[in-house]
Amino acid sequence: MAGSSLQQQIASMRQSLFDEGLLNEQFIELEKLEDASDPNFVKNVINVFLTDSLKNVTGIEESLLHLKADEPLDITELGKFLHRLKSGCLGIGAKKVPIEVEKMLQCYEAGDMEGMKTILPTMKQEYNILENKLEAYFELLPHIEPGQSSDPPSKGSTSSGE
Amino acid sequence: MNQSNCKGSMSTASSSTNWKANDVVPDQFPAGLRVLVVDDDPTCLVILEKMLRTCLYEVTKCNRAEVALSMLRENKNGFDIVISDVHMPDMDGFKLLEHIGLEMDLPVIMMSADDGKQVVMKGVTHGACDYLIKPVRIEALKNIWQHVVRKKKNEWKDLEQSGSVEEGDRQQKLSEDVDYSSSANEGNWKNSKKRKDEEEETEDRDDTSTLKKPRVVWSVELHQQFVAAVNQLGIDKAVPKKILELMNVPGLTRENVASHLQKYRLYLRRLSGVSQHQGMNNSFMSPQDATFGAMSSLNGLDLQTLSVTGQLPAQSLATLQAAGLGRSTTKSGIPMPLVDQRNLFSFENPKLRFGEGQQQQMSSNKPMNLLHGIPTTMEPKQLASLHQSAQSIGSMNMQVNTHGGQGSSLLMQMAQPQSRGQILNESTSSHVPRLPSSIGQPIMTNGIAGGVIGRNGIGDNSRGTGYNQVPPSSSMLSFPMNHTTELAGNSFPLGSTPGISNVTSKGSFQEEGNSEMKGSAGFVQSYDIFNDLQQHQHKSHDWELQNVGLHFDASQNANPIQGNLDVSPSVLVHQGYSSSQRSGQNRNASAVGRAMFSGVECVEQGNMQNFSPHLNNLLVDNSVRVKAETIPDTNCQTTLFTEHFGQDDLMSALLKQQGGIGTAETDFDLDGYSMDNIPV
Repeated sequence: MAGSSLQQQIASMRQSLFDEGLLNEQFIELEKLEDASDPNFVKNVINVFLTDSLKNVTGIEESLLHLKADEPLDITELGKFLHRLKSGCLGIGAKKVPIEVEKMLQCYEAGDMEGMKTILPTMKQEYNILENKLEAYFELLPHIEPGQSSDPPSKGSTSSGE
Repeated sequence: MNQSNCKGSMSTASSSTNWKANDVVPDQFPAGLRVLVVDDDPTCLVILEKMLRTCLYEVTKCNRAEVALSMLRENKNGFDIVISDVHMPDMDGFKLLEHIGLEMDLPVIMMSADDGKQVVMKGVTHGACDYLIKPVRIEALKNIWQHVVRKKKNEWKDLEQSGSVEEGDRQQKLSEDVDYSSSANEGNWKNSKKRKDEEEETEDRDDTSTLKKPRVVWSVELHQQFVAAVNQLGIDKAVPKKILELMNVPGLTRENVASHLQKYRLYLRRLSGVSQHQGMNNSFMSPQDATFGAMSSLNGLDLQTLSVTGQLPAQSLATLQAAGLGRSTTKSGIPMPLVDQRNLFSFENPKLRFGEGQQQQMSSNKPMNLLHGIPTTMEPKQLASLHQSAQSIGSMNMQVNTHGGQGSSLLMQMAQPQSRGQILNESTSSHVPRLPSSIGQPIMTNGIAGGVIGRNGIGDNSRGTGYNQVPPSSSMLSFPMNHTTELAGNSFPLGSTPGISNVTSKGSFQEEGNSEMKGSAGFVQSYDIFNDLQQHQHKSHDWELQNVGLHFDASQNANPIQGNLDVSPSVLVHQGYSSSQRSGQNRNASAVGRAMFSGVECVEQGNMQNFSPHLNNLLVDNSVRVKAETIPDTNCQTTLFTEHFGQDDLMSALLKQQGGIGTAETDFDLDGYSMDNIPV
C-alpha cells in the first residue's frame, strides 16, 4: 500500500521465499485465511512464529550444551522445544527446518545426545536463513490496522465470519 | 479471541447451543460448533484458531492441557468438540484424551506432526475420534462437526433403544420412518425425533423412563455400592434388577445399573485378559487394551457405555476407568498396523469397548457373549439401557466415541437389530467404499461409528443366516460377540449374533447410523476389510485393521446388506462383522462396510452440501440405514481388533474365529444367510 515499489518488493521477496525452498504451500494456505476482517493475519502468524521458534531453538541449544554426557535427555525440556519447533515450522510452511528438527527428534527419542549435537549446527543454520528472510518480509508487510499484535484482534466480534 | 470460554465472536451463537442430541439441527449447522483447541505451540494455535473461525466455529484456545481440562470441567456443556495436540509439556495428549472421554465424553480429535502409525494407533485406541496430521488444513477442520453429530446421534439411539429394548418394533418403525423419509429434511429429522420421543414415552418397559432419564453420576461411592452388590450376588449372577435392589439407591433405575454393569463387565474382562471366550480377542481385548490407553478407552467404553445407557456420567466413567486404568496403565501400542488411521480409530475404539461391555453383559444374560468383549449383541434390555443412557447422555455423547468405547457400545447395540441391519449391512457395504472420500481427514470417529455400528452390526452380523432374521434369541447376539473377538477385527462377529434380537436396536440404529455414518465413513473403509475378511474368511490382508477403514471394499463381499444399504456405514460395518462370523460373516463384514458406506455416503454427500438439511438427512438416513445395517458392530469390532492385532494377529484371529464361528454358524444357519445372496 505504500506504493507500487513496496508492493513489488513484497512480491519479489515473497516469491524468493518459495524459490529458495524456504516455504511451501502451507504458507499459501495461511495467506488464504487472511481476509478483510483480519488483514494482518499473516503478519501475526509470522510474528508469533518468529518469536516462539527463536525461543525453541535457543532452548534446544542450551539444553544440549548443558546436558551432561550421562544425563538422560528427557529430563530437560528438550523434547518440548523440539516438538514445538517442528510444529511451528510445519504450521508456517517452513520446508527445511522441520527436516532437521525431525532428525533431531529421532535422535532424541533414541536417547542419542551426540547425534543431536551433530545435527544442531545445520538446524540452526537453516533456521537462521529462514528467520532472516521471514523477518525482512515481515518488516515489509504493511500494517493494515493499528494495534495488531501476536494475536489477530478479534475483529470478528461481529459476524465477520471468523 | 477466545482465550477462555468466551463464546467469542461467533455470530451463530444460537446454533452453538443447539447441539444437544435432541435439538433440532440449526440451520447454520455446523456453524457455531464450539471447539476447544489445545496446543502448546502458539503458532499452531493461532493458525488453527483462524481456520476454525473461518469454518464459522466458535473457538477457544488453550495452550495447556491442565487448563483445558479445568475449562471443560467447569463448563461441561460448554464445548462440542476438542482438538488437542499429542505433544504437550504438562500432560500427554493421550492422557488428556482419556480424561475428556471419561469425564466429559466429548469427541476429541488428536493432532500431531507425527504421523507414525504407532502414534496414530495410539490415538485411536485411546478413543480419539480423529487424528489430524500437521500442518492441518482447513478442509480437515471443516468436517469435524461430523464427529459431534455422530456422537449425538448415537446417544439418541442409545436412549431410545435402551428405553425400548423390547419395543424394538416401535423404534424400528421410528427409524423406518426416519429412514424412509430420507429426504433428509429437517422435518424428517424432527419427525424421527418426535417419534422417538413418543416411543420413549410410551415405553416403560423396564420401568425406565428411557427418555428423559437424568444422567446418573456414578460416583465413587455409588460405584462401590454397585461393586459390593455385584460381589454379593456373584458376578455371574449379578443381574441389574437384583443389583438395584441390593444397592437400594433411590432414583437409580435398572437401566442405569444395567449399563453400568455392562461396562463393569467389560472392565473386568479386560482386566482378566478377556480371552475367555474365544481367546482370540485376547490380543484384542486382552489386557493390552487394559494397559494402554485402551483401558481407558475400554474402561471408558464400558463406562461410556454405561454412561450412555445408565447415564453414567463421565466422571463415573473416569472413576471406573481410572480404576481399570490403574491396572494397566501401559498404553499398549497395539501392534496393529495402522493401515488407515481413520479406520482404526473409529472401529477399534468402539469395538473394543463395546465388545467388552457387551460381552460382559451378554455372558451374564445370555449366551450372547460369544463375542468376547464385543458387545455386539446387546440384548434388548441392554440396548434399552443403552438407549436410555444414550438419551441422558445426549449432549455428552457428542463424542460418540471419543474413546471409541462409546461408539462401540452403541454400535454393538446397533448390530443387534441385525435382521434389519443385515440388509443394510449388505447394502451398505457396497457403498462403503465411497465414503471415505468425504471424510477428509481420517475419521477417528471410531468411537462413534464403532459404537453405533457395533450395535447395529453386531446384531445383524450374527445373523448371517439371513439378515432379516434377527432372531431375537440372544444366541445370535452372543454370537457376534464371540466372533468378534475371534475375528480379530475382521470378522467381527459383532453383530453377528444371529438374529440378534436387535430388532429393537434397529430403531435406534438409525440414529446411530447417522452419526455413525460420519464416523463410519472413515470406518467404513475399514469395514470393508472386515467384510472381505469375513467373506473370504481369510482376508487377512484386508484386515489389517489399518485398512479397515480404507478397505471398505464394497465389492468385496456380496453386499449382504443389500437390502438395507441405507444403514449408515457404521452400521454396515458392524454387520459385516457379524456376517463374518459365520461363513456369512465375511459377508456381513462387507455388508456392513457397505452399508456403512452407503450410509456414510449419504451422510457425506448430504452434509457436504448443506449442513442443516443434510444433517437431518443424515440423521434420517442414518437411522434408516442403521436399520438395515445393524452392522455397525462389525465396524466397531474391526477397530477393536485392529488395534490389538497386527495383521498377522488378525488373520489368525480371524481364522480362529472362522473355526469358532463355524459352530456359531451352524446355529445361525448362515448358509441361508449368505450375505452374498442378499440383494443389495
